[in-house]
Amino acid sequence: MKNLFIKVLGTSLLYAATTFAQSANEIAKKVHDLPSGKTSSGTISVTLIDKNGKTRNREIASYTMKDGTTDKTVLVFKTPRDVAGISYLTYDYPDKADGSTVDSDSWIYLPAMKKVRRVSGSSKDDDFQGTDFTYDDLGTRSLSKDNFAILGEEKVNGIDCWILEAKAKDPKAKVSRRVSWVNKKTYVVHKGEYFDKQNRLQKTLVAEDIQQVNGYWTSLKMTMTNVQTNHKTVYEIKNLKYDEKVNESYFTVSALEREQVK
Amino acid sequence: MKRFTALSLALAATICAQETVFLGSLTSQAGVGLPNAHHNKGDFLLGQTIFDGTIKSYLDEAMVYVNGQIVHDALGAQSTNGSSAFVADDGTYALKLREAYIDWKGEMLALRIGRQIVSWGKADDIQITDVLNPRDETNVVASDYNESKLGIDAVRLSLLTEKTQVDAYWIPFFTPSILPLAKGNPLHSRVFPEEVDGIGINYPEKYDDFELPEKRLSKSELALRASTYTSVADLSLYGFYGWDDLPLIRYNPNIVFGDGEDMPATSYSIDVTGEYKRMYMIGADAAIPAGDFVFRLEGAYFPKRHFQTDVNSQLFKYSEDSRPASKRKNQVLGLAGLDWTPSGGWTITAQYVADGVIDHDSDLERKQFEHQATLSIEKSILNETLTIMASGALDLWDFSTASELELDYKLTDAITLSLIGDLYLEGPDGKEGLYGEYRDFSSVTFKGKMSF
Repeated sequence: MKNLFIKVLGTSLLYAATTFAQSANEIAKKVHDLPSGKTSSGTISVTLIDKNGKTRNREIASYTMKDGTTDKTVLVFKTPRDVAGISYLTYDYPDKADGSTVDSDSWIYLPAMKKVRRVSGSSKDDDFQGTDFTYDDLGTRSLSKDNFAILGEEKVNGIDCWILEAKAKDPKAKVSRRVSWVNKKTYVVHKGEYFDKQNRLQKTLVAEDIQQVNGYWTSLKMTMTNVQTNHKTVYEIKNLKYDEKVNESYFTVSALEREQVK
Repeated sequence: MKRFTALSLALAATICAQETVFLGSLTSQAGVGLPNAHHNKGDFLLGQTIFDGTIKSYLDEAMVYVNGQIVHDALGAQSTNGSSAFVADDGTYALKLREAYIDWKGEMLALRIGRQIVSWGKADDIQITDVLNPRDETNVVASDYNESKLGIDAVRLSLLTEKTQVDAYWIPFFTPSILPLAKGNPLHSRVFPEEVDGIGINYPEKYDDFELPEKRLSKSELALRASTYTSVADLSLYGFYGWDDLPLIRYNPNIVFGDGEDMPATSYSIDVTGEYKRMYMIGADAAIPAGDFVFRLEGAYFPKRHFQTDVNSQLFKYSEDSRPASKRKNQVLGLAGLDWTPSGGWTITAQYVADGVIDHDSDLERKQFEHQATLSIEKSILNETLTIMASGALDLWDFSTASELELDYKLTDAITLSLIGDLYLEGPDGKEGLYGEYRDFSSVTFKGKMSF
């Protein structure tokens, strides 16, 4: 699980690059590599809305840190109260030189068990805590997992965007195809469509409240709607800070076990 | 005045740096015996309302943690070990202090002082190296291995680096497990029958009727854990020098003869006493991730552990002066397990556990070798509002089984309703094995919990 604050940055260098024709792979790589600071901290607010309009809320404290090429993430559930204190620690590694992916190292701390458990770091296409987002949707999905194509160009809310298609190489992937509307100037994803194994539209993504925070473009609000179930998840980021000092000891298994991460 | 202002500012800054969190829950549960529960059929086997409160207060690198419970038990099943709970005489109310500690962390050292619950090992719901905390043994209906753990009064000094952790424990006061001593506890008559074959049995009525270790420095417990966490595996080593949490039972015949020589006995009963014995353990475990799987290994060696001798050996084989309540034997325990998390919100856990006593002798109450397999399957659906859990354990020697099916439905974010079925079955030919003795506790439990 990489940085859960979706990276939607465009820098001046990237802006210059837009004047050149680019391949789908180049655009995908620039979206993938958008910088997001050496550290970040904030509170993630998740609202789940079912087809009858009934809502459920989750609040999660999030800390991230880059340690060399390793992205470290700590998440601590604050609400709902029955899961408060459940914490995740994940180390994400870059792809190998041959393009193959490296499994994350992941641990979960369960306060009821007073125990840290090693968990599998390979499943990225599962739903994130009952939401309509998968871990892949919230992180930076490995480029080696998809074939990319530019389907066209279109304005989204008056902003010029490429329509970028990412087709999963794995025929068994739960999401067979992702189509993103990528801001030509900033490489921000403004909206997306996700297709299931049978290539039927399954989910739509709308990114809102896109701001520069400490110089990094960030989408502070995203809404993912499962059009097949009419279930919706609103994902908001609050009190977001980049490049401010984060307690490095938070990113250790012992910090989880000691319930040290606030 | 300036000094006062400075002091006020300093105090204000201190208060601002402090963050206090309260977490509470109210649980109400009732369990009733299933038709195969024999004389417990249709009887309530569980009836509790539990208020659980936790306060966590962070101040810079320090934290105070307190967790306590107020329990109302409709069956009067609560009892105490003199340390973990204050219990009403009739067993209907209990006040429990589960944990209360101060935690401080420096650059590389950390200290935790006070009552604490510690989890060792990689096994799920099976005790191998997880020997530090005693347990509340008063309930088997809808019971949870982790919730049954009791805090130990300890000092824990830790050495921490990015990938390693070494914890040293000094446990000055021994805390025994809580036994089902309350008369209202459905387990009481099973564990402490008043008579067997017409012979009266005089069991201890209170926790301090057992021979507890004296409260002396020399009776302390010591423990050590060293762990490392890497991409390849998580590894831990353990050492423990302490007390076994359950007492060893001594059976003494109590024969009253008539007046005069060669007169027959006029009454015959058995007096039961219990004593706690020292225990040593060294152990190790590993968790190895591999794709969708995590393999878990755990092993422990208990040198010269005291094992209970059976009642017949005690009463009929030995004279009063040489009647041993226990014999010392070496024990080896091992576990191999795997967690599988395939796509789609499934969690599947399987374990194999083997438990052997070296140089076993026929006086011992337990078998020389016991082994079992466990399987647990969990699936969350409806955006995690409904969770279905099925778990079971199969005794591979006598084929007795314990199984549980649990449905948890989230009515709201705060309220969870649960339906739990527990089924204990003997093996073929009525063999009790590991789980057959609980057959009278097959039950169905309804539980409601609100977290706030």
